Amino acid sequence: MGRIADLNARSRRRGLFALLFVGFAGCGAGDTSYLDFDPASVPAQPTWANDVLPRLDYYCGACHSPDAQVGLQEGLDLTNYEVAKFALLDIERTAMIERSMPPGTAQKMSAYDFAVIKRWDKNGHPK
Amino acid sequence: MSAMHRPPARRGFSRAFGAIVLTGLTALITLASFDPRGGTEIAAVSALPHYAARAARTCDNCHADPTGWHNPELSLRKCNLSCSTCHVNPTGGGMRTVAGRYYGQATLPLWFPSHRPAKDANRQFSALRIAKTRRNRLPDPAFGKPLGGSAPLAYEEERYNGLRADPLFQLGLDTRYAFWFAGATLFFPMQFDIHAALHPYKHLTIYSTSGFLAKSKGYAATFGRPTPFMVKDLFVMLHQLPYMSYVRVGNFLPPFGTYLDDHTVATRRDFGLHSGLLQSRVSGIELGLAPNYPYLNVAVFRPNRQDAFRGDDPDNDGNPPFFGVDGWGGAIAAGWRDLGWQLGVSAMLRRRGLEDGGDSEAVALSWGFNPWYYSDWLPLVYLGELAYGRKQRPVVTSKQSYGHMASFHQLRALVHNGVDLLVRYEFADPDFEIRDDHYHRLALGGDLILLPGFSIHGEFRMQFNAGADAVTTHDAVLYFRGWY
Repeated sequence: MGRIADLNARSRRRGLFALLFVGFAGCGAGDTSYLDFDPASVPAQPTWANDVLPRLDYYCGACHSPDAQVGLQEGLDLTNYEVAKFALLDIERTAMIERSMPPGTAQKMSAYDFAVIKRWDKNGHPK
Repeated sequence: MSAMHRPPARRGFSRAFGAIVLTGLTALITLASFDPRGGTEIAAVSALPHYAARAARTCDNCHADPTGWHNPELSLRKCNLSCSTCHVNPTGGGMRTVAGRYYGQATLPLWFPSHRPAKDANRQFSALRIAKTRRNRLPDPAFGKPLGGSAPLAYEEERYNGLRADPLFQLGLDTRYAFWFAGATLFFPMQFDIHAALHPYKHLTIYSTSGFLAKSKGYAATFGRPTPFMVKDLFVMLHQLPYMSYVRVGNFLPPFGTYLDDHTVATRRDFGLHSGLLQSRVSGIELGLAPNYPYLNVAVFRPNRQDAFRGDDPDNDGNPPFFGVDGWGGAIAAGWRDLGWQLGVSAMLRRRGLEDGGDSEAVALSWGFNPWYYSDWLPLVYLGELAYGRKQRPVVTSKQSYGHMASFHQLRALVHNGVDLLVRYEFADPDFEIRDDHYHRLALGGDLILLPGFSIHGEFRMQFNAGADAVTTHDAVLYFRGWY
């Protein structure tokens, strides 16, 4: 796992570089994979109710919940504990690798938020 | 130009009645359009800085012909390209001053303008030259005069085609009904904000903006929350002071960067400046001035909670505290807005507990260029911004933070009065330490400002995501906008 604290100076240099190029620069500014998150920054024991459900609801609930305005898309209710448990690989692929979900220009899931969900998965999905 | 024509007096009961009827009708239409099946996000208010830049082209964009006027001394002059010229809120958005209302009725619309600036008299489709009169087309929702008369720096009625220049009480409205196409199609009232200003004495104004707080889950969820309608901005202000200076105390958005009407632009959303959200408001005091070209805004405040999901409120029904959370913050914006160009810098910091979002710092460089000022053949306005910030990670044991940045470049072309094209490029990296979370976004669209107080906005957006497996996503938004 990459330690974020070790990477700050490098990030600062890239930030300054981007400033020099007035916003066109910055591609490739990333340092670590979205999975390489500092363990200290993620809750040790995330739970479904406190940590995972609010995040899935926030990013996905507009389409993937029973009371979505547009109707439940793809029959996938990500606010349901059992459904969400088995959809994690798909969530990772679409939200974090392809970045195709949420669709369009809606706000994408942050790496930190996915790290919390991933930790929950690793810990055996505590409720 | 000929001397200003004064329209027949249409004040008193008929005007008040007209304003009340319009407000009521709009409210009824909005409420009637709520779909009980669901809803979406309420959006930002809509200051449009390119209008300000564009206004530099000719004086009678902002007021009637200056024939026979004495040019006031600098301390009393209101000519600048800051938000405060057209908006009561000195950092932009919401209720318009008389200059803003004049601009909205005279210069912006395709049909039924009350007046055309000298340089733009022929900038309209010949078949659509409906206006041959300078009569104002919308009722002016402004009433009375402040007690004790107006301040020396107050707007003067005869320069604004008879619009009430310095009213005791004024109402305003910003409303948007939107279609959003992103796989599925949503229709929703994107914005419904009512503005009110009471101006009881020369320099004193009490201002409020209230609006619906729609939820992304839907309308049913919106009206299920305890407070679907809330006061967003509320402040007491001493203004119309020399050099266009002011001081205000209350709830407002901190002065930082360039105020855009698209709340999804990362220079606003990623920096806690989403103007549709209560979380972006701060409680504090702000000083500002804008004598002609330079401008300065300084604010000290109590920050609010970061917009985020909370374990103790998984349905996100709660609102943040109205007067913010424990902590402090500050913001400063300064620069120069000249007739053909502008350059500004901003800085902001927030100090608050981790449970409220933690500490953050940000700086921004904003700029603009208005080729139209130099040539009638180039009806273009270019605006840009680069913002860099650091945010604290939610780590209890240390003070880790990470960098992020966002920028935009926006070019607007006014093909004819009322036909306004848009190209915008954005780049954002929400977290420098994470690989491939940055993206590029391109927006193509424009505004059709059909009538005074009514326009249609369309925009097609493509987002190019990073990474080997990344895909390009796209969406489109179309909204109908009414304001006065």
